[in-house]
Amino acid sequence: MEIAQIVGLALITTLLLLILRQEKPVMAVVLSIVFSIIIFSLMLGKMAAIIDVMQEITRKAEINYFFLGTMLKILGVAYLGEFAAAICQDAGEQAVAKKVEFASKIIIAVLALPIMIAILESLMELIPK
Amino acid sequence: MSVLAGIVKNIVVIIIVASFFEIILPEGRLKPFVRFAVGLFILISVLNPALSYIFSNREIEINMWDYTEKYVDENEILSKGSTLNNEIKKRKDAAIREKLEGQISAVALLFPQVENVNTEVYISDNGKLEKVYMVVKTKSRERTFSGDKIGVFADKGYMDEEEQEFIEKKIVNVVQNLYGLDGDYIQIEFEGG
Repeated sequence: MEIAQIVGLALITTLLLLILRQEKPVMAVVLSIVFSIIIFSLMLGKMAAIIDVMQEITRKAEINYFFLGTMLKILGVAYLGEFAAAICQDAGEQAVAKKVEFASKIIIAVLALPIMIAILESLMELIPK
Repeated sequence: MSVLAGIVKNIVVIIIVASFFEIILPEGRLKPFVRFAVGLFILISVLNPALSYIFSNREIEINMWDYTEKYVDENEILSKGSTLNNEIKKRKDAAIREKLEGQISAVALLFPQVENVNTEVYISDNGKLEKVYMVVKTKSRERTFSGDKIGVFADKGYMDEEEQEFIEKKIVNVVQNLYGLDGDYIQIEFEGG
């Protein structure tokens, strides 16, 4: 049971963080980062399985893989941005967290741009001149 | 009907995929941005088959909008260049070899006693002619039989060694002068002699 491991690990980390935040706040941040990395690496295999299934479904539906690939990239950027922002907020660095979120938003917008342009071009073609 | 069935099937798949994306969206300030991108994904996935149907086999072109930077390793480029270079050199060498073989054979065929020539040339890595190997077939002589002198091994119609040596010397001399090759590197064999 992986969830039991994760819950156990989360409880231990929370307890340690409660103690460390009083004594050594820097170590608390380090522990928080380590915990995030552990959870992320534990979920990597599962995420790969999800992506495989998605790929298979879109292949069968004959949907251009570019769209799914872009969506997955956007999801990845969003998750990483959220993780990083949360860690920064935990460390009390609100300004840095905001910057990470800003960067994530821009990257998401850039990734979504090709799809948006493609839609606009198609719609323009539909409208008679 | 089959087109409609395909579009409906696509829409069902898109809805399932999009719903799944909605579930796994991260909570936080980035959520509206990701939802917007998911919305675009749904829109284009629905629009694509519909447009393909209206404008017979039209596909939405997105390649030119693909902004992903492609990282190309310098070593990879060099290795590809080297492979290409080797391939060009190999082909060039093969073409030169073929031409040279043809030329040398043609020169040898100028001798009236020679009927056919097979030439093989060896070229060094720096493109220099290294060795020439020739198999020469001489014209068979007309047999003259005088009624009382027919022996079992009397005459097979081939040239004797002296004649062969004479032709060999001449061919070697011509090839030597034409290609500046040392006589030791020109090897001639007589077929059936």
